[in-house]
Amino acid sequence: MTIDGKIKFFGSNNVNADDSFSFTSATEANAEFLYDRSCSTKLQSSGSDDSTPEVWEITFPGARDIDRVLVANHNIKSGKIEYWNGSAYVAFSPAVTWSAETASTNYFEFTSVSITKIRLTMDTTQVVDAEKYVGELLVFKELGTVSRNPEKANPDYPESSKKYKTSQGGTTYVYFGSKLKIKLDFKQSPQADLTLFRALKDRASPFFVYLSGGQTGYTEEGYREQDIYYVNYINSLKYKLSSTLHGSGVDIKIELAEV
Amino acid sequence: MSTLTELIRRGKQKPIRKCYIKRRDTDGDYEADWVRVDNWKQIDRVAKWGKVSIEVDEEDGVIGSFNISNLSMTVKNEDGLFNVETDARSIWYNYLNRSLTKLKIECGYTDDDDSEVGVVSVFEGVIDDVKIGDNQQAKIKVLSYQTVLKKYDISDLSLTGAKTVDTLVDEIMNQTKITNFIPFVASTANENSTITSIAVGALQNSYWGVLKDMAKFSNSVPFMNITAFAFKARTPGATSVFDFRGHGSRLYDDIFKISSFDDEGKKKVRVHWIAKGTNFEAISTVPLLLKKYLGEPELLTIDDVDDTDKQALVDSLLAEWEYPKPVISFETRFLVNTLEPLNKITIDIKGQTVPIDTFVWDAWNWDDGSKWGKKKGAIIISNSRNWKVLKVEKDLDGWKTKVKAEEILA
Repeated sequence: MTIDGKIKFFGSNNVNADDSFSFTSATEANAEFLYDRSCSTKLQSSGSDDSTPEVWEITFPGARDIDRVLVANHNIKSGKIEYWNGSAYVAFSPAVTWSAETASTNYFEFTSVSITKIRLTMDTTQVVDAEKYVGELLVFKELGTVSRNPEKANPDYPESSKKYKTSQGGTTYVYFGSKLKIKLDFKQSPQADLTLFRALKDRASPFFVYLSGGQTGYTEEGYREQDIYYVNYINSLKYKLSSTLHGSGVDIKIELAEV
Repeated sequence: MSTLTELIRRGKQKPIRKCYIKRRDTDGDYEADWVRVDNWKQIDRVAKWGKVSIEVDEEDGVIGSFNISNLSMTVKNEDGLFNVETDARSIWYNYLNRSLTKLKIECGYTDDDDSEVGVVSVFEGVIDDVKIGDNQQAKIKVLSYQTVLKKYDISDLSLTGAKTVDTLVDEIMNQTKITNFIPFVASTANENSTITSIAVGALQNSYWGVLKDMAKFSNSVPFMNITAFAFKARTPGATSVFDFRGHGSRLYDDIFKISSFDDEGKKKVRVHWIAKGTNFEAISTVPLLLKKYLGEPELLTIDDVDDTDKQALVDSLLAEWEYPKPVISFETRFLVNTLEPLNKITIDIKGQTVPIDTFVWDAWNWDDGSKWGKKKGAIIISNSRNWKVLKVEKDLDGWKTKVKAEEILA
């Protein structure tokens, strides 16, 4: 488990509409804010303070193998995430905890475990006695990390929009939204990466791409810690040997489009 | 936080659209909570949202006409989510079939702080049919709740005895099988005519057909907006709910396009009404109107109405349709539910661009980059004139509204 800025891929988020939710004070009808793929819509406690832990329990419909958690746009200063081992809530290995946290997004890696429930406990907030909130909670299984990052990456955000001229010639611009589309140009990728790309291509469902790989400090949109996209691999899997020498890897371009 | 009207009038808009369903369990009961499906398992599902419209008096001179449209939408179905309930991948798995599932669409706007403003249901109905295709999409046909009223026959009420229009309408609408879809609101007919006992016993039609007849017999309109039903006079609201501004406005303009403007409005004029086979009639006493519009009298079949109410009814109808009313249709911003038929609005079209009122020809410095806006004088409408909305069509994909309105005569 290394976090060195290499692009990572994950399976579907196990926090979704199929789950059961139980929250100390947050509105259960708003649980979708945890998995709506928008950091800006936040699930928030109601009437909480630093002496009242806010506990969110999420029960999956069946056992799920997980080894990664991303908590985006939160204000947790101290707290933890644990899993149900069948008889009690216990810590992951290593434990997922916050203590004097100041960041708003955290990514955790731990040993894979098969679970049916997780519990997020938020004890205190970064601003004293504030309501506790989380914009996005992703609990998933890593599919793989590339050995070599691409030499080029061209993110694009094609939009869905309308433009209307009003009777005096002004323009009303209706912006429905935009989704990431990115071309990644890998050079000298080893067979392990090619195998990963083949697995992504053959998957029956979309997957998450994490361009930062969990590395903190990137500031460009798309590469920040909170930037994670649910995508499909939409171009043909096509590559060429990087040189005439076998074993020097392959050059491959992959195109990902957000669903 | 911005108001809904502010966001409607903004030059940049960020729409919110959500789709929910309520399935029936194997006992036929609807699940308690709405389930959001436009984003399911973190995938945007809706490829096409469709259009919905509500219209009163859509047929010229036909009393009681009202129509709320159905909705056709297209969703992505590459994983079989919208397949038949026996398919384990289907969202209906372990529920009853797709037909009669309730479906609603909510719309609103996003404010600067990403908060949701004015998000309300703009359509609610029941799924009639889902067609899946090899293009990995499913087409869903959703019927408005008006359809529920077409599915039942009036004979199942076994009505007897003379009844007023209000009583009869209430007996139809205040049944559990109807209130499951449409909350009950007591009828307030314009002319609460009495329907004879013979006619009541002989009623043959769907509930909707009877409601339309009752509307004719009482000069009323059976009105339904989403789930709200009202049987009432076609009287417009007292105050304007939206003041539209068009060409020549100093501040902003709301009108994208004027599709049509019948500045006379003669199609809707009826100056002579006769209750067929009787001596009850009403004819205009305005000589000019008779010269302009007197043609074939409008024959009304109102045998079912008690004789004591017939004269009041034809008088009421004449009052409604005696004078021509200009009719305008235009495209404007997406208004969510700000507007519905029978609302009062104003329209301000000055016919020219800035500057207005104070401009003097030859006093302009043409070299400063300014230009005199084109004179567009074909349609000039003062904001002192009031209009009654007849039709509202919401284009959920184009995020715009088509409005049809007739002038409210002073």
